[in-house]
Amino acid sequence: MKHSYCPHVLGRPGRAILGSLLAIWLVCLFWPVEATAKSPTKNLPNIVFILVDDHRWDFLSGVGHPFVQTPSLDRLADEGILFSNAFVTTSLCTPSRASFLTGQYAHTHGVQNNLTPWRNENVTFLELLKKAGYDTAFIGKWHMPGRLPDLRGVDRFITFTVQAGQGRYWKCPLIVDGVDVPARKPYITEDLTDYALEYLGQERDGPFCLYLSYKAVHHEWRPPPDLVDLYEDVEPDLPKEADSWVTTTRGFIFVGTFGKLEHHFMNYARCVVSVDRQVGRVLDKLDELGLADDTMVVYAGDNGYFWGEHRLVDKRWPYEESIRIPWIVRYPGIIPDPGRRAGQMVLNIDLAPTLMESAGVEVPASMEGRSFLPVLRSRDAPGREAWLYEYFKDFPYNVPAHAAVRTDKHIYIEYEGRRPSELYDLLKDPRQKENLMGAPEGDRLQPELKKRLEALKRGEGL
Amino acid sequence: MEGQSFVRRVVTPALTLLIVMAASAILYDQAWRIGNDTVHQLTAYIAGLVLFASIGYGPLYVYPKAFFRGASLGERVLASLVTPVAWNLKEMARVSEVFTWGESLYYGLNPIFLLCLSGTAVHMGLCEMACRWVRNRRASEPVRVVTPASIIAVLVGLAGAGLFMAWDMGVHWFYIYQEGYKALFT
Repeated sequence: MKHSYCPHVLGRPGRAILGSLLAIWLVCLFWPVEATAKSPTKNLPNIVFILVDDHRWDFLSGVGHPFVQTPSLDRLADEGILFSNAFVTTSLCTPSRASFLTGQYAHTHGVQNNLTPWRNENVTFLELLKKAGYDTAFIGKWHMPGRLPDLRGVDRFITFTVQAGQGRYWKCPLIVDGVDVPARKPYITEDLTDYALEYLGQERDGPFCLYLSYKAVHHEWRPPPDLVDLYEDVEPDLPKEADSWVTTTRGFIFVGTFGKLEHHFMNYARCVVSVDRQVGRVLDKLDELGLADDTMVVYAGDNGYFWGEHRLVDKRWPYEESIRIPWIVRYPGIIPDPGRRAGQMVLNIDLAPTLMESAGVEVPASMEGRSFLPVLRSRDAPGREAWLYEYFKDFPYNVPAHAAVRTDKHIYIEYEGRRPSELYDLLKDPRQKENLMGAPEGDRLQPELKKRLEALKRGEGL
Repeated sequence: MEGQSFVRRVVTPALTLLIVMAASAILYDQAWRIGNDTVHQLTAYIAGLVLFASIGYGPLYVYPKAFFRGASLGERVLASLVTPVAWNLKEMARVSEVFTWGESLYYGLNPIFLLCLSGTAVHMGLCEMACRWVRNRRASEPVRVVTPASIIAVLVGLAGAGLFMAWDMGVHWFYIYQEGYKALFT
């Protein structure tokens, strides 16, 4: 008799064993893909937040920059939403970073300038996400004055403290979970991305939140070797009021701009391209791991940058080049119309409450921003009408402390000290050339805007 | 060469450079008002260049002038320092819009000014040796070209330049300067 191995010729115990083996095999086949590294629990999204230093809103090919090409960021915008009216509430690295983390204004979280230390009692969105079951990582620039904190709720903390936390473009030593380590890759943007990719690739049971914060594109604007000649034949399109020496006069030299404006401008553009490359690596990794559909990716700059506009370099001042930031969100499954450009005004303080809502965590009353999740879901969701901008004195940069109210049409600015107030019609005068204070239109508009500013300063209507 | 008045020995060369610095600063600051872009850019570029040279390299003009008009060592140093110090005082007055008087005074010790003083020391040391070398070619009684004072000036100036600027492009000293600010004012 010829024996067959068909199940039906086996007895009941044999079929049971074979069935069990088949079930185990099927589980083994799909388990690693569906339940360890790649599947958030309870339908919570994974979160990747990428923060870039001093990246100005219009240095993206997707918004029409005349020569900078950023294909990865354009891809992110095409697959998500680009917010064309995104701002920071304080245009300075340290306060802005603290605002992203806490969802609070600088006057609340206390990190008011580059000299005031981080308060350990501040609650970050990473801490709250950890409590909600997330695996969390902070990789990159921390840059808050004072000692490096023992960040609550952060499972992996990779940062640097050299040059007062600014880091170096080349061979930047890192601190990995409290241990000093030398750079693994010579160029810091690539080195940090490598750590981020390793983190993304780790097996885990629950969702994760990655905070990836680059040193680029802050000064000294050192592009990687293969990009140093990029756009060599391009004539930089600097504003008419600028000149080569703007970088060296009126104290701007303190922001590390010794040398010609044109030279730094082009290296800044090259550094933007270098960041775009690394963002591309992150997106590719998410694709490779099958995580893209379960992951909310947010890209933002911590403030804008002047390249000669108003005869200024650096940031701080309450003009559009300084307070506007690039802000792109990709969130598959939530955004019904990817590729949209959202015009609603969003702020850096909105990130934390948005992440809370996405993770199903109640937004703490201490957060002063508001979730922009409704805007992701619907193009018709209402945006805010006005918001408070604030800047605090920061030695030795000669920018007076000021507060401003920014509406969708106007900005009204009050300075401390001798400098007079300013009011601009942003629709008629987007480059803010004509101060309306003292003009009939300014006299008409100023009382209402001042009232609004005072209310915002009191915390009303934030 | 000897016997010229204090005005000719010290005031005239120092004042000449000071006027050049002030004029180029005003021209630079106002150049943006010029309607024609090309003229504006050209004016701003030249004015900026002259302004930078007058502050950073002024002693190369002032020191030899004072030397050959019979100024003493102290007078030569004084004349060379007039323009950088005046520029720094102007900067301190400018930032007093934002900072308290105490902070503005501390601003006067900023690394850029210290770098400028270091450069001035180097230039004075080099000029001293160059002037002595020229005088030797003209005078019957030779003098020492290389003196301890000029060597010390060059070395101190180079050390200052290294500390304030060359040490990681000035970043380290800048943060030390900021720590000083925090200790004094916060």
